[in-house]
Amino acid sequence: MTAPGLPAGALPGFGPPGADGLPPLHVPLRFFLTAALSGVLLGGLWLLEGDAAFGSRWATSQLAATHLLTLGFFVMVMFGALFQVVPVLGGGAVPRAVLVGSIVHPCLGLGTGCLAWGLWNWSPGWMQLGGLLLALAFLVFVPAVGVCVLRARALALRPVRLAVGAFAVAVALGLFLAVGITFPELGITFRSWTNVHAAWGGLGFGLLLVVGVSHQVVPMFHVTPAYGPRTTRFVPPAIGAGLVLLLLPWPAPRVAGVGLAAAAGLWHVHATLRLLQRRRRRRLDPTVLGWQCGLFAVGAGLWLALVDAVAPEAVGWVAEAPAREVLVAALFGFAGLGTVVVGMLTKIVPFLAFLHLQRLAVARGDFAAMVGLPTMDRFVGRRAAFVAVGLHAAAAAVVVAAARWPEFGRVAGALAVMSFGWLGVVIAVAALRYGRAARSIVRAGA
Amino acid sequence: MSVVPRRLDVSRLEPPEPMVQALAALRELGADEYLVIAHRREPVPLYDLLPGLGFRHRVQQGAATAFEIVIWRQAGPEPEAGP
Repeated sequence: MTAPGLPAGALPGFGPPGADGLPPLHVPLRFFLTAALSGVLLGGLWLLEGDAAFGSRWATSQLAATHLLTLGFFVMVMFGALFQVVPVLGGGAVPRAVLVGSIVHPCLGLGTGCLAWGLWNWSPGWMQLGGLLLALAFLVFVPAVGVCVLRARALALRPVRLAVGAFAVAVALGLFLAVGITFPELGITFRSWTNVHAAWGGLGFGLLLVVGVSHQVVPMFHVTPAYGPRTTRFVPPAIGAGLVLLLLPWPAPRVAGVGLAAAAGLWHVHATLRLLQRRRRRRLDPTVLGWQCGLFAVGAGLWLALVDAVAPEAVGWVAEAPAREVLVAALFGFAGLGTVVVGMLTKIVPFLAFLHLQRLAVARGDFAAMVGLPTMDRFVGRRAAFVAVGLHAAAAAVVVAAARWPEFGRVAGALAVMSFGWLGVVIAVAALRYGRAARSIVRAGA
Repeated sequence: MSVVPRRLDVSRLEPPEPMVQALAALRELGADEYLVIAHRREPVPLYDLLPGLGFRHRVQQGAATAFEIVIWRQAGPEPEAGP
């Protein structure tokens, strides 16, 4: 006997979306697992290339590594998470979530792989194939999620709406750069536009999404007071306005744009760290540690970008100008958003597993099962979560060092392989434990 | 028959503990009892479960927390508004 609403023989929780709009658990989990695999490939690339990758941001291996991190890890995790976040924030169910996920996941994964391979070997054919697959993934995902976030009026969705819009601009800028590479006779100055593309992707999609999600999950999961109205109301549009200024092709508005977006980001970092200090349960928590380490690194990256834009001579002691750009990316991206995301995954994955088991017990009307569900740390243990955050923080420290001293590149790669490999094991084990618990609920009610 | 309150404070617990403890308390609720949950936010997912489990609820402002959720059996009388 299967749960009501599930096809006969289907694994519980792997069926159609529930009335609450959450898609089946396999939809986000496959994105999270592939993100960890992309991270392992990224570490492997650094391990092979070492200082050659970290010597220049324009090294083909570093361009490939950057896209494995941004598209393969961050976008993969954030797309998977949006299937869950949008309904929770009041946007309703993503239409045809299983079908959308089944198209977007392989296209995003394979597209990233082809693009990274093409960039590493500077092969336009592979880059174009990767671009086509990625375009298909984005053309399916962005409208599906965009419809939900645009039609809903919930205030909580405003930063998510901005983030999805910023992602569309980042993709358009990426395509513009791809055209510049494919047709050099057009004379597109793709190096200067690369920073704008990176800012729309990193600050626009990455930071805005983290801002929007943190407004909800920090007070909820970590029992802190709510964010102040000035933070929730002004930070997201200030980041958006800064990014718009970056699109203008003159130096002064671009400096103002970096300043505005970085200042707004620093405001959010400060507000979140203050809230975490005021949490009611002061127990050491791996996700809180991820927030704290990650936000310090985000803050350091934003501060460096801000000073570099306004008074570059003041940060000349940090590193030479080209290495400073790599340092900003390493601090903001790998160390900052990366540690936040790894910490969040150690909380979100077991929470989703619990939520879906509860939904299964409810669907069967099994009160005893509802009360006796495994606790969250049965899916991801505290020690395993601390190891995940600790390994990523250690890898991040060496990646930041390698941005300044490229000879640390291979050590950074080895630690990145260990960090993302462990993250993948943690998620896979949680999925297996979920499956076992779901089958036992079904057997008990049969 | 008069009903007496059983109080549960989940305002300092992280998700999903408030839901877990609320369901456990409902399962153990005596025939002459109703449940008063002190919470820092409205537990909307719990509301969705209550009719299927045979309970009704109302929300009132709490004394020490933002919300108090009063839950009683569908077959029983609605408790009067308490302090």
